[in-house]
Amino acid sequence: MSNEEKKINAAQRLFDAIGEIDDSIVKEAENVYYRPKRSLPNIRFTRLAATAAVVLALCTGIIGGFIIGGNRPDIKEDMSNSSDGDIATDLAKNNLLKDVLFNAVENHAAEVISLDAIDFFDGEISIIWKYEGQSEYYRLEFNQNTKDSVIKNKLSASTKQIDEQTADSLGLSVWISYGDGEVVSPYLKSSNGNVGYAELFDYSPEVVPNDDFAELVKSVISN
Amino acid sequence: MEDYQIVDLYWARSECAIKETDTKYGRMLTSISISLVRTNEDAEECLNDTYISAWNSMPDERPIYLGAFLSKIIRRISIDKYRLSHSKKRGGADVFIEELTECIPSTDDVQLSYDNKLLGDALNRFLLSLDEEKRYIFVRRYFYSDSIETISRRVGISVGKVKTVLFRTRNALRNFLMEEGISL
Repeated sequence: MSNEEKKINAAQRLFDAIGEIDDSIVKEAENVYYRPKRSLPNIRFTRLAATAAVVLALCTGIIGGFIIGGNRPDIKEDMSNSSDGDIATDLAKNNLLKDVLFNAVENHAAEVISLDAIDFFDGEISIIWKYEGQSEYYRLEFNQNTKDSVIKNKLSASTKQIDEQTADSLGLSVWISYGDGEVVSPYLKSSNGNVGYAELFDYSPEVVPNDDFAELVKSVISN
Repeated sequence: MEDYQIVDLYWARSECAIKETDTKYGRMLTSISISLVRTNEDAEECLNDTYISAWNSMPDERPIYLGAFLSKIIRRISIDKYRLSHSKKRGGADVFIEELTECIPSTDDVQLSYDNKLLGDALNRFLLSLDEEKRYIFVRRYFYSDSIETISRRVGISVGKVKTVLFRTRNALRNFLMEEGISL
């Protein structure tokens, strides 16, 4: 047996042995992964505050470090003191839509579509999404029974502000096309300023989509 | 339904046990199998065999993590099925095995003997030494047999980054096995 064949045999045994790893490790990897929020070290702001203080002190002769440093928000403290309804501190609990869309892709319930092929005036309401670093778009049409008013109500109900770290690690962009040119995103606050027209615009996520909306998408997939 | 409730159904020899299992884990198990056997028909066979195996093993067994318990069964069944009907065409489990050859020390004298329990314990130690994200990516690739693109979507990182993480983790595993003195 050549060394190459021995290596393949050894790799096969390794592959088999991976099947015997501890159940808890297998379980840990069962669901979609949510990257842990990185907590910014306070020291960065302390140094920044100190630098700003020196500059201010030099410019004005006042000990501005006391003012700046004292008023500088402590990010960690800010997060922990925020009310539960405002900040999404646990992505797993508050980003059901990401799971639902992922499952739609995995179960081939979503249509794979190129940007050129998307018709914003087809009269159909659809949810369109794209994963970071990938070129494909995915599309799911809402069924005829789901009126746009229902969708708009469920979208506008979202009030949970998304924090910056969570937004950065989201890894996907999501839009709703109303079929008449109007395009919105469930990750943006419902306002006139956040309505796009006939394009899948770039945006910075502002809110975590309402679970009711995610459940609506889920019901569309299962029908 | 919670895992322990489904396990209770098996212990009570209730016919609902399989139905509840299929509802909760059917898609996940099918996904594992298809990645290895590559055809829907074979995957369906493996799934049915898995349910039979689960039915026969409970009672006696009372797994805490039912999903992990079933995943191991279908993975084993699927690999065996793939090897039985293995064709010259590249695909299925071969893809993952080829990647794992990088974890085997490049010596002129690769030994055939090994201790399965030692290897299993070592793999657990190695995986627990990784950070959560690397461990997740490695387990999704080589236990759940996910494609690189699927892992990329699951984690929310680029395909390139997934490949880099896997490459480095395979190297780390090779070094780990050498340091542990484990011969494959």
